[in-house]
Amino acid sequence: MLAFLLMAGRLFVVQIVESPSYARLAAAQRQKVVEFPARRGSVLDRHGRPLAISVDLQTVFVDPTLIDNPRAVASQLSGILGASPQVLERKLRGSFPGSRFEYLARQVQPAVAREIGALDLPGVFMRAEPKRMYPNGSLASHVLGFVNIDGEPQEGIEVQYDDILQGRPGRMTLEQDPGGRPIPQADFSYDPPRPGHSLLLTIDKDIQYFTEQTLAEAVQRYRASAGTAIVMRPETGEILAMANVPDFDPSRPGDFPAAARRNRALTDVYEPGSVYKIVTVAAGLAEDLVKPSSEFVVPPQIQVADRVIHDSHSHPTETMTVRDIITQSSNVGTVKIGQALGPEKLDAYVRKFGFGNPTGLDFPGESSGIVVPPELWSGSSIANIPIGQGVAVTPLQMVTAFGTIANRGTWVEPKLLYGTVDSKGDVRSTSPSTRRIVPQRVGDQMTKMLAAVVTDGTGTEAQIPGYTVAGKTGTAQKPLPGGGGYGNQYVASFGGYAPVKRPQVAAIVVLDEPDPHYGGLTAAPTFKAIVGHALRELGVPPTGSIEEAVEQLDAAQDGTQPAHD
Amino acid sequence: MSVRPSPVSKRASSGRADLRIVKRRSRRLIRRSPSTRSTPLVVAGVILVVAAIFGILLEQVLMSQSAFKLGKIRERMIAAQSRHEDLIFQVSQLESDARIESYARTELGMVDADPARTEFIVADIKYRLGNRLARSGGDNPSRLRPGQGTGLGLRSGP
Repeated sequence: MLAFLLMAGRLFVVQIVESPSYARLAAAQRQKVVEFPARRGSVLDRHGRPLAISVDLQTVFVDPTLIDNPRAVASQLSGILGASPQVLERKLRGSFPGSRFEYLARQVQPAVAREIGALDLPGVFMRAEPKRMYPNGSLASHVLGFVNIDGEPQEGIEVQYDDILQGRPGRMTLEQDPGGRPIPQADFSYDPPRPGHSLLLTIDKDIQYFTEQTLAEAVQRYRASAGTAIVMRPETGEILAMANVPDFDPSRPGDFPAAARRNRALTDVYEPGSVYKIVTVAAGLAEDLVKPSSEFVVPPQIQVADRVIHDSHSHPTETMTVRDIITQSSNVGTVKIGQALGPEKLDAYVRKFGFGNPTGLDFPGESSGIVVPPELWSGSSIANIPIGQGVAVTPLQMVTAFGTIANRGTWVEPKLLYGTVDSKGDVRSTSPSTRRIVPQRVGDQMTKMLAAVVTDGTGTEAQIPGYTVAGKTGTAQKPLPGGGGYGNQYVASFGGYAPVKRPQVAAIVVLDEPDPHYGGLTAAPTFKAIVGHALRELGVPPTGSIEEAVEQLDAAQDGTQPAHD
Repeated sequence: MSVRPSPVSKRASSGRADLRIVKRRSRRLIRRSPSTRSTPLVVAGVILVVAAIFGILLEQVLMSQSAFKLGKIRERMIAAQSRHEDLIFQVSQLESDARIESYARTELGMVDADPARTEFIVADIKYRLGNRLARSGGDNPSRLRPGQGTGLGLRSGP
């Protein structure tokens, strides 16, 4: 009777109390879950041409316990895989006794996989693994970033939009017999993988290519240590090209130093020098402290606190208009406008133009730049900052400032991502945010003065045949490491836009330590080549004379005709 | 069909036989052995069981075949998708600007345009023509060489 009770009790425990756990164990024994990796979305240029795509490649692996003659197999495979027979033989013997899995080669090309499959070697297996491929080589590598061999994103767009690109893996749950064969009529569920969405960038592949080529040639010709160029549409903030030299191949990023993989256009800051004068002068015009025709007595140098500021070219004390100050890039004249503004107003405009904050491009590692608040200024800061010293900006911030002038005073958030494309091909895009920085009349006044820089001033090398151009040169001394003043190395730059009437392209070129070091002689001709090509590529018709463009801007200010029709 | 005679009473046997036609009422009147009676049922049952087993086996075979075919189709679909992606990749490589430029320069003899010999056609002919005619009397501005007629010396060379 007691034994019966014990048995009944045990039966109760097994059947009722522990039933769910036993059921789980049984299910685990016969159930098999197969995961299907989701296809990573592609990265496309603005016309839908692939910049980064995922392709299934075969990975070759081996079960060493099934290999009878490792030496013979190694010699068979070495020719196909291009690896030494000794290395392969070591793998075929296993990295430890009893090893049942060793990689022979990961992500081999389809032709190689076919050859290995044809050998039909026992113990040698293959499985498909998606590999990220960049069909254009190093094109836009700093924008795209790269993924590692396991498909994990490491830098650039690949990291920033990984949640959109990666998709969701699928799962198939089935029941199998002890031999591992699926049981047809048993429980079966299949949740298909959801492929990642593709990204449609604002980058134009052709403009990007030409920009990279031209920048690389400029860096070589002027023996610069590095260079950056950005091309954007000022009206929409869309970045058409973003190039850096040196660059790298995202298919094999490990072969390049970390410095070559850095997107200098966003992550590196530099003292901009004279291109920054557009901020000071625009602020002076917006505050009605000066007009383009306002005159200043400009000596060849000026002392402010402990610093003496010189003009780049010696000249006697002379009277200059604001227009002259910009076209001749007078440091002394610009300092006088800065002094008229005062620290608070100058700082306010610097920040309104977007300096000291990320632009909102939504890119990993974007720098805010360095803008010192007025309360921390030294006595000479009011002399340094108006001419672009004592501040640090990114090339992207600077080109966005030029875009603001091109847009007649409206700042437009730059954007690299035009939208996402789902598996059905539907595109979803967002519009950038905008804000007014200076009145329209200031934008027009600045445009006329910047056009004069290119026709009569320091930027004549930026003239593009057939088009009107507005822009500003910059030649900035590089600060010595540790903050001990300035050395004899320079950053040359040129920023601007074209055509003057209704600008379609804004761009900046920054060359690090070129020879000659003047922005007007190195960055300006590079700008000319890049923007000239971009205008033609975008189908912008040649615009004729600068006189007519200026006339139209004058008419717009008089209210007789819209400047941008 | 047979009719069994009704039992003959003793009284009838002594005289004229009392013969009657007996109307058949049912088959129950016919006696059979129990084994003979259940035979059709057993046969039918066996047939049914065999049919059921055969049906289940057939279903198993068909399901196995379908699962096998489905697996093969899925494999082919994955292979086709891989091939599709590989082809997209190859097309992208062939469309690469670097490859096209290299091919054009080395194989087709492409050279850069000479900026000094390039003419730029001004687009908004009507507007400019009107302005120019009013200003200088007849100079057709629709085809301008770089620097020509601007008065500002737009330079065409590097």
